Amino acid sequence: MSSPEDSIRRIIWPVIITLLILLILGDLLMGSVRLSAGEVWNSLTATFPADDTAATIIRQFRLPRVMTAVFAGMALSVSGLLMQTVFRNPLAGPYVLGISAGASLGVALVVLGFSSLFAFNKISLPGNSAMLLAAATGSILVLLLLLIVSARVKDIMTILILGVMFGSAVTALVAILQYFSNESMLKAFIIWTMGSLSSTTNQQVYLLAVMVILGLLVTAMMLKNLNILMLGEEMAVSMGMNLYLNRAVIFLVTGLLVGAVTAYCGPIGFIGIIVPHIARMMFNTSHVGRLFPGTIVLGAVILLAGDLVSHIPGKAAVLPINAVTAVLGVPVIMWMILRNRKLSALM
Amino acid sequence: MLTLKQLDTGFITTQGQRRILASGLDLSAREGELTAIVGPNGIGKSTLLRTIMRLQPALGGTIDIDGRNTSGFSTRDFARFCSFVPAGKIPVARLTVEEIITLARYPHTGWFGKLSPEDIRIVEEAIYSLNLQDLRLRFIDELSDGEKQRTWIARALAQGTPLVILDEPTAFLDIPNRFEIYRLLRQIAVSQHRLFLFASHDLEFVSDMTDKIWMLLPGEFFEGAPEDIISGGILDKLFRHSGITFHPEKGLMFPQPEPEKYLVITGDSSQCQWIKRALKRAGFGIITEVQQHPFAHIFCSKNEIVLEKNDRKIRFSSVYALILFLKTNH
Repeated sequence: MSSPEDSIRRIIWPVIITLLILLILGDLLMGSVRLSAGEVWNSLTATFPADDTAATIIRQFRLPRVMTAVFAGMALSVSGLLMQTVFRNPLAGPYVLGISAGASLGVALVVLGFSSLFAFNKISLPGNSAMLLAAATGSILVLLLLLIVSARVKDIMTILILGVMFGSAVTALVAILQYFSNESMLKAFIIWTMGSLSSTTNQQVYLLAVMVILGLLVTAMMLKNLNILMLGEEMAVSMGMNLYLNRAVIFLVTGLLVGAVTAYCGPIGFIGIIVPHIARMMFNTSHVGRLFPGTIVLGAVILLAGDLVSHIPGKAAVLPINAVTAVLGVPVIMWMILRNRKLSALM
Repeated sequence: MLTLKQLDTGFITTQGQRRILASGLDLSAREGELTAIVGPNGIGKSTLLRTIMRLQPALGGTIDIDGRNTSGFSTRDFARFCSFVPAGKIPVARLTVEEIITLARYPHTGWFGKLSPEDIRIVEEAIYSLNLQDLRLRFIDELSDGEKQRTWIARALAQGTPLVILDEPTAFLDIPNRFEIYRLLRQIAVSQHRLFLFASHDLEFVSDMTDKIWMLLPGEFFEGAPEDIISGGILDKLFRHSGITFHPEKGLMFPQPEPEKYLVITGDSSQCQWIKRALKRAGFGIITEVQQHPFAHIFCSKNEIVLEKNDRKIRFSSVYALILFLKTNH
C-alpha cells in the first residue's frame, strides 16, 4: 500500500504549518508603507520599539488585519464544512442559509436606511459599532427564521431551498434600499459588500477570535454527530441521533461563525465552499473528524494568501478581498468539477 | 423477539388525513431466524419496516421487542436494540469500509466517539462476519455493489443490536452476490443469535433460505414457514391474474401464449430440451407425434440441428440460427 501518495500525505502537515507561518509573516510585510522584515520583527517583539511609526503600523493596522484573515478563514471554511455535511451537497457553503444576506440587510438598513432617514451626512464605515450590531442582528434574525422552519420540516433539501429563498428575498429588500439611497451612502455600502480584512481594530479582533474559537470548540464536540450525518439523516436517526437538536446546534454554530465574520469583514465568498474540498483532496477523506483540523488551518492559509494577493506591491491600493477570493476560487471550483466529472464524487 | 400487535401502518398526508396501507397486523419474528416480508409492489413492505424502525409513526397498535413496547424507548436506547440497512444506494464517498463500520458504535460511545477495547472487538467481529477483512481500508465508493452491501450489513451488525432490519438488501445484486448475502445472513442469524427482518422480491431465495415469511396482500396477511405459504396456496395469491405460478421444484413458471404452429422434435434429449425452450419462447408449440399437421420436423443431435420441411433439409449450427430462420421463413 505504500506509494508516493503516502509519502506526500506524511509531509502535508509540516508543509501547511510552515506555509501558515510564512504567510502570516509575509502578510505582515504587506502594506502601503515599505517596512523591512527586521522592523516588523522589532515592532512585534520589543517592549519599547525604537521606531514608533513602524510599531504603530504593525500593531494597530497590520497585525489586526493578519489575525482577522486567520480567524475569518478558519470560521468560513469550517462553516462551509458544516453546511456541506448537513446538506450533503458539495456546493453548499456558509451563505446557503441566507445568513450573510441577513447581515447585508442589517448593514443596508444602517448605512442606507437610517442614514438617509436621519440625514447623517457622514458615516465612518470601518469599525462602526452600529454597523456591527446591525450585521449581527440581521444574521441572527435570518438564523432564527431558519431554525423555526427546520424544526418543522423533515426534508433537509427543503431547508436548503428555503435558505436560498430567504437569501433572495432579503437581497431584494437590500436592492430596494439601495435604489432609494444617495450616492455616497450607496458607495459606502457597496464597499462593505466587497469585503475587507483591514477594518478591524485590535479590540474587535479579540471579540472575533473569541467567537470563532467558541464556534470551533462546539464544532469539535459535534464531530461524532457530523460523521453520522454523512451516512444520511435516516441512518443517523436509526443510530440514535437527535436530528432536530443537532441540526439546530449546527445552524447556530454556523450562524455564529458566519455572522461574526460578515459583521467584521463583509460577505467573503468562495473560501467556505472551496476549502473543505481542498482539504478532502489533500487528506483524501470525507471523514469529518479527520478533515476538521486540516480545514481550519487551510482556511487560514488560503484567506491569508488571498489577502497577500490583494495588496498591490508598492501601492496603497488594496483590491477588494471578495473579488480576489472569487478570482482565485472560481477556477479552483471549475477545475474540481471537471476533474471529478460527477459532483457527488466531490464529497 | 419482535411482536406486532394489531399494527396499522401507513402515513399521514399533508392535509392531515390518515392513509392506512396495512391494518391489524399480528406478526412475530424471533432471534436466530431470517424473516422475509413478501408482497406486491406498493403493498407497504418498506412502510412496515420503517414503522418498526420508528422512522415513521404507527397509526395504531403496538410493536414490542421482548415484550417491551418500542414507543417507550428513547432514540438512543432504540438504536441499541434495532439497526437498519436502508434500501437503495447510500451516496457516500471517501470513507473507508472500516470507518463506516466503526461509526456504528455511535450509540455506545461518548462525546468524542472514543472506542473501548470492547467496541473495537465488536467492529472486528462485524468485519470478519461479512468477510470484509481484505477490503477494510478501501473507500466505499470504489467497491462493487455486493461489497458495498456487505459493508452496510456489517455496519448494522457493529451497532450491536439483536434486531437488524434490511430493506431489499439484494435489490442491486447479481445471483451469486444475492446467494452470498442470504448465506451470510443465515450463518450470522444462527451464530450470533440475531433477528434479521427484510423485505425482498427474491421468491426463489426467500422460499429456500428464510425461516419465516410475512406475506402482505391487499386486505390480508399471512405468516409461516415458506412451505406453509407455498403449500397453502397463499403464494399463488401474489400472482393473481398474472398467470405466473410457483412450482416447488422448478421455481417460477411464466405463462406462455397459445401457439399457432406446431413442431415435432426428435433426437438427443439433453439437446432437445434447450431447443424446446427456445421454440416455446418464439411462440411455437411442441408435439411429439405427427398428428396435428406439424409445421416442420426438427432432429437434434450433439453437433447439429436439422430442420425438415416439405422434404427439404436445412442444417443449423446454433439454436439462435434455427429460431431466426423460423421467425423469418413462414
